[in-house]
Amino acid sequence: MLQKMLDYIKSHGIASPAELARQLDASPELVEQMLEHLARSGYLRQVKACPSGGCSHGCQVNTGSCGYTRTLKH
Amino acid sequence: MSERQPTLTIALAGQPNVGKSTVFNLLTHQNQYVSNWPGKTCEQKTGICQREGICVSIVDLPGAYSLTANSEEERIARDFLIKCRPDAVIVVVDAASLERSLYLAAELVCLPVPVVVGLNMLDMAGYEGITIEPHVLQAAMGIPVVPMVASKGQGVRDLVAAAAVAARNPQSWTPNRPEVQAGHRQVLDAIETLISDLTPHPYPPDWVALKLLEGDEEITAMMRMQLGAAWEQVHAILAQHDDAFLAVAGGRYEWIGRMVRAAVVRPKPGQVTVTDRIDQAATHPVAGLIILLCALGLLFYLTYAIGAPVQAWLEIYVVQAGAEWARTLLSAWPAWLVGLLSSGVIMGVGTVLTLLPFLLIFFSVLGLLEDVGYMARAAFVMDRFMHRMGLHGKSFLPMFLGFGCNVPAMMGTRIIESPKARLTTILVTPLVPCTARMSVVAFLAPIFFGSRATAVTLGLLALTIVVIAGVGATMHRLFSGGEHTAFIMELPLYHIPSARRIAQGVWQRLVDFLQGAGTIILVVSVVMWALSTYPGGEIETSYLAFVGRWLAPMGRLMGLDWQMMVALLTSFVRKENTLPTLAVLYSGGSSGVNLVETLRSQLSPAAGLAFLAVQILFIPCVATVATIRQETRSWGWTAFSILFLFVLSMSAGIAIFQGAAVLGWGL
Repeated sequence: MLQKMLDYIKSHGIASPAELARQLDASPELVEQMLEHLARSGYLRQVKACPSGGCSHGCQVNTGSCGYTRTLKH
Repeated sequence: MSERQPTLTIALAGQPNVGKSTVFNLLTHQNQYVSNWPGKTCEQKTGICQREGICVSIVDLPGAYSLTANSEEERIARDFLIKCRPDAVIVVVDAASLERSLYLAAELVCLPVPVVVGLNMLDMAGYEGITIEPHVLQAAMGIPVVPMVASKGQGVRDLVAAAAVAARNPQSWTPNRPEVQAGHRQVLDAIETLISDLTPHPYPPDWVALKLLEGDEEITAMMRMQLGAAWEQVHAILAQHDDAFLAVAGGRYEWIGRMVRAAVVRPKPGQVTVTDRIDQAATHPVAGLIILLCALGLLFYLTYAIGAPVQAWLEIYVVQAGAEWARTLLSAWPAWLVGLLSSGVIMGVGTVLTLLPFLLIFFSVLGLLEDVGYMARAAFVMDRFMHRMGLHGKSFLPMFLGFGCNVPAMMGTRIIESPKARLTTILVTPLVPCTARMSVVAFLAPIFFGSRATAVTLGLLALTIVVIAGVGATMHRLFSGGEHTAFIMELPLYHIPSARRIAQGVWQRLVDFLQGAGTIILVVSVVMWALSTYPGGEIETSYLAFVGRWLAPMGRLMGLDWQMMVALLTSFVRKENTLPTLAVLYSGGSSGVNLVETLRSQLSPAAGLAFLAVQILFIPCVATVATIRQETRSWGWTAFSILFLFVLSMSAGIAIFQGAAVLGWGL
């Protein structure tokens, strides 16, 4: 699941959590969890911040206003 | 209560903010013992749970998001589970945030210890429109799932019973475990085969193999040492699969996804939940700030509106009456002893006791905001300001703690990963006015400004925020080359507050305060009385007067007399000392002097404002300074902090008084 997510982001450059939830057929909450995990582990970088700067409940998932891109790791 | 020996040991695990502490308190009531984990600074809580014939020992594990050694808490939790091998584990999960909570459960079910799930906060899930079927979740996970609302005491009896049954029947425990994603299962098997005979006891080889594949640094180091030459083979496999972390963690997320799909029905996309509705305002960049200011304004308004009259009553009918009563009753005793008791002990400690109404209100409102779940929103709203100082939202949390006490705030900075951001936070945090400082301000502001005390206090708070921002931004420029780390903040769902939980928190904070006041303040009060009385018996010729007069030239620039300067200096021991020192100094060794009237007649409003500004920005108490040394591990930074704050506070005081003189205000 994480690999699929990384592959999708790699092929699209930047992807929003809402877009990823649709692609992976997973709940937005689960996608958010996975994105945070991958960002903490250095696989992803958040490139479009929410207006308040953080990634939190509902914010980027509902609005799609945040995006993640893959880092050079792996 | 009968003194039975517990026959079973059950560990209580869970991520932060899932209600684990509430469950622990419900299970163990008053049978709790607090110590530190061996060799760690982290607090260890154990307790005995006796319910309906069941007597078990409960060990409260530190809150952990996973069993990967990312933090000391996670290391402690997994070391206990593996090395102490409890009879069962209760994992508390948040029903309203199951995707987040289940990650720890996904790791726990891979250990050879029976796991029972406490599905907590079902009421909150309901408010959010989330429907969960516990029996379906139980069937999907293959382990007992007990529905709970711990804040209302619901489900605790079933939880204990289920844990006891699981602990007594480990052979019947057959969980559905997450699997490593296809493509890496053979790799996992190969590693397990290589290490199975060499894995140190009591580590389970299959778990160690999983952690090696996942890239766990601690386990990798342990096995490298353990395997010696045989490590090369394992290392070669791991080097070929350095992306295996994705297969291991991905497997856990697939497992979580299956569980959630089976048992959870969420509101349709686009449906706005209660939390979403509130957060639209509470986390809004503008509305959120207004709400935060209103919350803080309400906090301080209540403190003055209710606390001030009660404080005045205590001052007159307890402190002053007590001092007078002591003088009358003990008139036959030596004069020095009567002076010591009435002017030193009763006036000193009594003055601190009159702070209790303020503290009670302050802690109650803060407890309410914390319990409702608003505090996390406050941190969220402040995040962008933190960024301007080169800090992260994480810096706001310890700094906000500083409003209670700077000492835990300093220790709270450990959550900040970046050393430079952490150092900046440590150096800036003493500027956050703690409860003790605010208590002094709460006492003095109405004396100088009457009905405008609330406005003045809010103004002083605004001043500290401006100073914090300026100092933080400057330090960031000096220290940092623009280093930033990813900031991820969890916003818990809003809770219906629990009066019992808030009361427990308020009680604990008040007890902590009184214990401190009862020792340090008493000693300082007595010493201050002695310094103001000896050697000649007259305060004008006392040791304290000597120090105060030496500082008088600087004080004059702020419109302050030497007594006020001495009061400021004694606040270094403990902030509340300002008041007993003033009480003793202005009483001149005799009781019956009204501190309020004396201060009002001695200081102009401009001088009062300068004093309050200096007090709020001055060097923190000695406990905080000691913590700065402990956290920075540097006497240099500690000395810098003291000197910097002294210069800053004096400059602010002088600027305010001289500014007022130029404007012709309040002289």
